[in-house]
Order: sequence, then structure tokens, then C-alpha cells
Amino acid sequence: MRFFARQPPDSDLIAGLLAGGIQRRQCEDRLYQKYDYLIATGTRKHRLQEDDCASAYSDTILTVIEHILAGHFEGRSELATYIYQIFNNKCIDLIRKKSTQRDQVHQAVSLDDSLLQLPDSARSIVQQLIAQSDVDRLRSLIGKLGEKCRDMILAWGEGYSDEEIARQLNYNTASVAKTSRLRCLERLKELYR
Amino acid sequence: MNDLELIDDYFSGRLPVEERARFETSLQTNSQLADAVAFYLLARQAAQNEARANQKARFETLRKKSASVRPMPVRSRIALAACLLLVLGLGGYWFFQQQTPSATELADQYIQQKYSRLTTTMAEKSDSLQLGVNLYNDGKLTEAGAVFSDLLHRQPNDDRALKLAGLVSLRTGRYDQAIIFFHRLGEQTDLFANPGLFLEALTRLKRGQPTDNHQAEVLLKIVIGHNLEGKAEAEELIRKL
Repeated sequence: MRFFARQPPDSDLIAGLLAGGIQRRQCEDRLYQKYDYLIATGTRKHRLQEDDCASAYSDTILTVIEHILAGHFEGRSELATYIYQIFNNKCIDLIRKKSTQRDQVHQAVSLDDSLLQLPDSARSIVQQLIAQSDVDRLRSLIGKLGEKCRDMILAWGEGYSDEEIARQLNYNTASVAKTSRLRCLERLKELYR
Repeated sequence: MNDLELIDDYFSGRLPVEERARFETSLQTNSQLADAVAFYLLARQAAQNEARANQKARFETLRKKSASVRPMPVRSRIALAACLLLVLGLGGYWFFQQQTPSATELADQYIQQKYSRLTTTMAEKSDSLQLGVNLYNDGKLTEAGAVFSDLLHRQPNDDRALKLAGLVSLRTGRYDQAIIFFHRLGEQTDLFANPGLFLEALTRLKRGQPTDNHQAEVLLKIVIGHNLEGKAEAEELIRKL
């Protein structure tokens, strides 16, 4: 009975996220459930629709998970405070979006971080090529890959390592998982061309 | 090593420094490699977006599933617990009230138990009193009342006659008259035991006029305070008022 259910401490959730695999997935869900009262808070405080607040809250949790996995969350504030601040900002973004009709405020994933790895001269070339590409078409093509390939590409997109992908999808080694993943990427590339 | 593997190793930080530099140099001149890098990054973004959309859908399912059994925030739990306690308290009080008789019911019980039948010793030597008590015990209250009235006509301050006449009036529902008899009895200060005030209080509880409860309470407090006859019963009655 959830009325009497005890919520796990944040430290356990963070440790579970960092542990990866099935434990990570369970901790993602539990983290989402632990602070989902913020949806009602956002609805009341910002006078937003519940569905909009729920979407902003989901984005918040996904962003927080990314920050934890990337080591950006250093524990200088309570996790609850950290989540609340991000959620509040996302709600404000949502209000701005509604008032200015500006789209893509929830464009949570950016290419910037990856591009920054490239030297300046190479970066501009790649940027131009990306600008001419169609990410939405590529997304729809992921759905056309076989189930195993699709799961593998999505796990890669979620940031799982080849070791974790091997465990989740029953490959013998990380190396085999990596080879399979790159083959799936090749197939996607062929579909895209 | 094909292009995608090389690119994957580059962005995963697995390439040695020399190969990394060679990769970056060839990227500026090799359009096929640049195209593959663009595809790789775009594919990763697409995968991230798709994965994120799937995760959001999973969260949405969780939200809908838990909506019906949503754990309550602490403040709501406290409020609910307070409401439950209040309901239980009120329910318990109501149940207690149902189980315990009211002051009027107690007065009824007391009159029934103590005065439905009189002991003959009350009459002592007086033939008239003895006759009245016998009639009273036989349930002939009107006749008994006539005997006690006649006696009071002759001896207006006879404490026994006042008490018995008052009891007849009380049991026949003539509360106003009973109060007069008991009040007169209560005013007598030279008696060893005087139940006048207590009986007047009982009668007022039975009559139930607007000020009767308050006056009965005052009388009962006097009975308790002065340790008069009926003190124990008065204490029980006053708890009910």
C-alpha cells in the first residue's frame, strides 16, 4: 500500500543510478515517483495544465539523471532542492513558450557537447553537414530497425556502456555488443542514405 | 577499422593521442569521414531523443498508474490523521453519550428506585401519615395526596408531610406543585437531614423548563457544598449537566 510506503533515501537512488543495468532503471522510476508531488506543486504555483507540468517534470528527472551519470551533480545541495530548481526553470520555460509561441524549449539533447570535442576547423564542417540533415527522419528510421537493433541503439542513446548493453541484451562480451551496435548503426546509415 | 568504429572510438575517448590527431586532420580534408561524423552525431542525437521520448512515456505510464494510489504528502497525511482522530473522538463521545443516561434519565431512574415505594418508618406514629404512605405504596396516589394535603392544612410546616405531598405531586406529574412543597421543605434549616433541595433539583430536571437545568445545577451544588441529603446522587447528576 503506497500510503504507508517508505521512500528510499536519495543516496540509495544515486548509488542505484550509478550502478547501471536493471538497478538503474528501477532507480529512475523510483526517483520519478519520489518527487512526483512536484507536478501538483507546479500546477498550483505556475497555473499550468497538469499534463504540461508532468512533461516538464519528466524532463526534469531525465536531466537530473543525466547530470548524476555525468558527474555534474556534486551533492552541494540536497537532491530535492536540485530537482526543484530545475523543475521550476522548466516550468518558467514552459510559460515563456506558451506566451511567445516559441517552440523547442524542451529540446533537452544538444549536439554542442559532442561537437566541442572536435577542433574548431573540423567542427564547422561537421556543423554544416548536420544543419543539412534531418534528425526527425533519423528518429523514425530507428523504429524501422529490427527490435534487437532498436533496443541497442536506444540503450546507446540512454548512455549505457557496451558492458551494460551486453548484460542487458545477452551478448557474451562488451566487444561483441560494440560490434553489433556499430553494425546496427551501419544499417541505420544505409536506411538514411 | 571502418569509419564508424573509428568515430565511435574517437568520441568515446578510446583513440590514442596520435591517432586522435590524425583523425582530426583527416576530418578537414576527407569529406566522406566528415559526412560519417555528421551521421554518427546525428544518429546519437536521434537515439537520445528517441530514448528520452520512451523514458517520458514510461514515466507517464507510472504517473497514470500511481494516480489512483498516489502517496499523500506529509501535510495531507497529518490532516487526514487529525480528521480521523476527530471523527473517532466525536464518534466515541456520541457512543459514550448513547451508553450513559442523561441527567433527566438519571433523575427518572433515581425517583423510580427510591420513591416508587416508601418505607413505613417514614410515617412513624402519625395515623394520617401511615394511612397516606399505605395508599402511596398501593399506587393510590390521588388519595394519598389528599391525606397529605389535609395534614399540611393542619400542620403547614410538617417536614414529613411536605416531603410526601411533594413526592405525590412529582409522581403524578404536577411538577409546579411538587417544587413548591420541596422548596418549603428545603427552607427548613432545623432538620437533621433535609432532602428538600435535592428533591427540588430532581423535580426541576423532570419539568425541564428553560431555566430549570441551571437552577437544578445551582441546587445540586448547594447540596454537595453543604453535604446535604442526596449528596452522592447530586455529584453523579451534576456530571451529566
